[in-house]
Amino acid sequence: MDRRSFLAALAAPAAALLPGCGHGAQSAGTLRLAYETDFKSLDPAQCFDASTLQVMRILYGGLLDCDDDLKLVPWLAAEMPEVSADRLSYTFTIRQGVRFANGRELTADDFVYAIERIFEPATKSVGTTFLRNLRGAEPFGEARQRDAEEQGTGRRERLAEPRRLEGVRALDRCTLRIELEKPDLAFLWLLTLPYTYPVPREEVERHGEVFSRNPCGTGPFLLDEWQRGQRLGFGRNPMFQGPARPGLDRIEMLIGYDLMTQTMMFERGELDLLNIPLPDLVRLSRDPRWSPQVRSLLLQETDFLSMNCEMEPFTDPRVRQAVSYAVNRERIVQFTSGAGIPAQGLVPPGVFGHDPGRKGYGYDPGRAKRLLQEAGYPDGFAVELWYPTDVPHWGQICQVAQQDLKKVGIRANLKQVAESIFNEATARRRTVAFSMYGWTEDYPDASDFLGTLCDGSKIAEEECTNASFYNNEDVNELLHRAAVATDEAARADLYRRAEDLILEDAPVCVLIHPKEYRMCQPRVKGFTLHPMWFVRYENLWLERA
Amino acid sequence: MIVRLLRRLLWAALTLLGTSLIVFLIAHAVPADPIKAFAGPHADKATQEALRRELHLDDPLATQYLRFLGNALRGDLGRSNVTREPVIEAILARFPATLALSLGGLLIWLVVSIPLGVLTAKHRDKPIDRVTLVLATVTVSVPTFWLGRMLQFELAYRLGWFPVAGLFSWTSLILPSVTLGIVGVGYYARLVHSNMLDVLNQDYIRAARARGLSEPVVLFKHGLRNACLPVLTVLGMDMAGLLGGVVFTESVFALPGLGALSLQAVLNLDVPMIMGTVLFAALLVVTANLVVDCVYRLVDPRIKGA
Amino acid sequence: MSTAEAAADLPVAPAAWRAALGNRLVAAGLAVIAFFLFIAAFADGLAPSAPDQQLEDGLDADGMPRAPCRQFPLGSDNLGRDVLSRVLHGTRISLTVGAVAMLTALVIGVLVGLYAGYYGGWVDGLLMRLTDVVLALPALLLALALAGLMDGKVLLSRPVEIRLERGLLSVCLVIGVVSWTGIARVVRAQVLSLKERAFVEAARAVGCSDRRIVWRHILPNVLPALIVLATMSVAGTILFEAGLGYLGWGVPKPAPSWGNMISDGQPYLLVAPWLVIPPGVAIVLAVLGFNLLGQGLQDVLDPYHKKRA
Repeated sequence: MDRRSFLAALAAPAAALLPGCGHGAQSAGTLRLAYETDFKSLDPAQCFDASTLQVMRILYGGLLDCDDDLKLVPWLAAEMPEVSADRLSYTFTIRQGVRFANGRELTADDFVYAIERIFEPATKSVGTTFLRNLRGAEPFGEARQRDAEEQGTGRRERLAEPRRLEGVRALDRCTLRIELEKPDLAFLWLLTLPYTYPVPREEVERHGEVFSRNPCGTGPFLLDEWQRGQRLGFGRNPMFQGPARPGLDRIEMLIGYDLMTQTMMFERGELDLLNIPLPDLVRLSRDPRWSPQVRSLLLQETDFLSMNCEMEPFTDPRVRQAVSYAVNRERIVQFTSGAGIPAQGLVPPGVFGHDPGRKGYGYDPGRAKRLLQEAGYPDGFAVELWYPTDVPHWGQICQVAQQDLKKVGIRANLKQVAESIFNEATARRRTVAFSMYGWTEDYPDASDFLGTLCDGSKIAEEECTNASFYNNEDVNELLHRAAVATDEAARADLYRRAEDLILEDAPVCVLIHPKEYRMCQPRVKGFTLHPMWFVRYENLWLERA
Repeated sequence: MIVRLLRRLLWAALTLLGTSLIVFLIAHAVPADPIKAFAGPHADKATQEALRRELHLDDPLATQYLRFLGNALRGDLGRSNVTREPVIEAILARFPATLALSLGGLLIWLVVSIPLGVLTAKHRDKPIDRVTLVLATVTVSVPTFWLGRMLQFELAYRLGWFPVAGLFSWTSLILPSVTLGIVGVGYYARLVHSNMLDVLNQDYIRAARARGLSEPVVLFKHGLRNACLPVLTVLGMDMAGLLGGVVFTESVFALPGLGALSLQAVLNLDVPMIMGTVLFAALLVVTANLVVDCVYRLVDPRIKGA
Repeated sequence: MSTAEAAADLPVAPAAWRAALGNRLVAAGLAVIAFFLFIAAFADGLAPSAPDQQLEDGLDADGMPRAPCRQFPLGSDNLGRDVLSRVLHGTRISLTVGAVAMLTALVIGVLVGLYAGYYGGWVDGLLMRLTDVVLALPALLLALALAGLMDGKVLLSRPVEIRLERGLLSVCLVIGVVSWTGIARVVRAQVLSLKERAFVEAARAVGCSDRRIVWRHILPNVLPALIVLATMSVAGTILFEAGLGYLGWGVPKPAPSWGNMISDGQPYLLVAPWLVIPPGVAIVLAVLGFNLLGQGLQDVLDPYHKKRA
């Protein structure tokens, strides 16, 4: 920041001090909402949390979208792709006349660039995990690693072979072919995720590392203001050629407001949308003024207690089962004001592979005690239960669990740790024995739950997503077979059998599938919640007073 | 005078050097691996090693400290581990809000506490003095965050007299400033009070009265001016305390200031940002002390002569 | 100065204490403190339930906290725990933190102040520079950084791994470590004026060692100021702990510290203000007690010799 902009920054609040001028007045078409924390990055390659996902959607676009009924529909693709008989090759036609916010027309090459870019270490994308199945992804990724090692980070020339990603090719300006190593019925869902959203190469290269702060996409809005940690402003993208023009002129996102403050502001009309915090849920949904405004959504998420199967005393499956019997899920639901339903298994309702008939562990402290006795812990044991600071009601859930566990002799000491440390430590082998964990779908498929959380062949020393470090050969085998199955019914059955085995071994004690509640001011129209996208800002409009 | 000033400047610089050393040592004991934070959770070993070299984290601690110091002197406090933005930019962008809030709080301290202090000194041990003493003791006993929440809840949320939170117009600053003002006003009222008592016993005040000057003139012109000098010193020393109150006030009222920034940095274990904000705060405190010291010497005739 | 005069200088003279007890501020402060000490001592007997006990009927049909009623005089909290019991037990934590942190600060402050003031010269320069440095650092941020540091492993030196955990004691130490500067400054100022006094000169003349002079002759004369400082410092540390707890970095949960209670209860402010108001009032009262006592003692003991001016 140079001197001039510092002076400008000084002048901003001074301007705010003058009554009725500047930021104070909200223009008619402006939607205002608030968040607790700022976005880390607005680069689609680096997106991995739900709130960023909503913003990705208004700035960028993907080949496929998912509609209200959770069905795949074309988005930047003109139609659904042609799929080869062996289910390994997908051919897309790109919609004509789509432009980036900088005015350039979108071509099939932009998709190739965006996907190859994911594999560059300098992009720091989490998307590689999802796109490993692209043909030639492995050697391509390794080659980019070698580049990075030799050149240091940040340089963009590709030296090591192969220089191109084999599985993603532009056949002509508007035809894109994607090929896989192994068939995967969930693959098309991956294309709705931000990792494959096209980004303009010229902008990425112009901004380099700070591209994450200067997004440029094909979406209906563009970012025109971002004061870090304070506010973001989105205006209409004049280049947008979508099927429908967005109804809002502007979206203003305020940063740094806790949920209770947001609730107060919302009720005083200072905000247009609200993510209803649990404490106020009952009150607001019974208030005749607000109840018509409340929308709810069962999240495709499972919250559970993760037990490290490589650490005493959780090496014994009977101990793990005892934990599952000891916890009263109904009580957890009650304690969280009904913002969730008791979980029977790991795969939540609405996700492919969910078994609606599944009966999980019931609340049975007597049985838990017997199991502990059999396992050689007649007097129970003491253990540390870790939970991260960032989810507001997890502390309460842990406390309920702590009380239930105490009744069977397990003395759990609650340990609240900063999110970054929590993530690092729980993903490290033989470090954390017992932790509160939650997993939200990236795409609605059982593979995203069972494959990510319980595949023993994916156990790593660090940054392991299998936080229970659970390894059962039979389960691994079933998961691998399911991943490449080409028949939907057979695939669902494989996942069901894998989940049966997992739940019997109980590396996790499933607790609840949470629900989410949001509300809007009466003047906001078109507000519905979508299981994957939550809020779709482009569908909203404001009733003029 | 010049020599004194130079000596003070040197001391101030030394103090800052000390703070930077302490901050550096604390920051380097924070358990989070800065590389992990910087490169993102999914970076592989090679990237991490490359970054480690690039950021010179292999060097001995002393070398790292000297480099940190050198960069800091050039105004470069590094980049945030979380947002990647230059720390100094973040700080300067947040400073105006904090400044506005602090000035608001300060204004209330002075405007309320000076007349109150003078009045209670004049009417020593009368009911007004007693009541003020108790009230002052109550206000210094209230936690800032709790008071802020209560005011916000009643006056902004229930009654709707003020905006609930955020910084959108000058009205947004009223409640936070009042909060900050209330928790400090009692202390300063007592300070002015006891200084006034001292001053009122001085010979020149008696002389002024003997000359037949009116009571307000005696109190405010002759008494207050001298009573205010120690207040000024305390005010300078109290800057760090004021910043502490600012952290809570900004947190309650969601003001985009330095307090919110540093709090977020601590929650994220964002080491460069923690170092930057703490150092900047120390710079503010040291500067305030220096300014107070100079003003003091300019105003106080006794020291001028020395 | 005669010995009689020296004795009159000693604050611990019985007459001073009698005067202190006669002072209304002191009496009020002592009453409040005695009240809280009583609660802290008998919290187990006074509290209707254990502070962490999530009671079966502690939540209403919606899983929301219960408003104050016969069974829960101050209501129940979001986990169905009795707020009154928690506030009562919180007294223990707050007083413990207040006392231990105050002692920590006092020990550091007195050592620094005494030696800086007595020896002067480079010792004074160094110690006072250190004081200035710590004074310049915002105590709250420093404490937060230290608290963050304690939440995990710290390698102090390569072969020895020292693991620090956030707990009651460490929070006390952190608060103490960041709040000794005021004490050091006042003690130093007092020592500076005392060491010129006749009785110190006399002691030196009869060949007393420096250590004996500092501890036997100077320290007792600093005592009145110390008593006032210590009292005020307890008030400050209780507030400080509440603040750390509010920001989520105080005594680890589920300990019912007042700051933790406000921090936990705050999301419920709009539906159940009884989660936030009682611990807040408790903080104000406890801090007020120590501040009143400190204020009163200052008037009576007059450690800064205000009245003589």
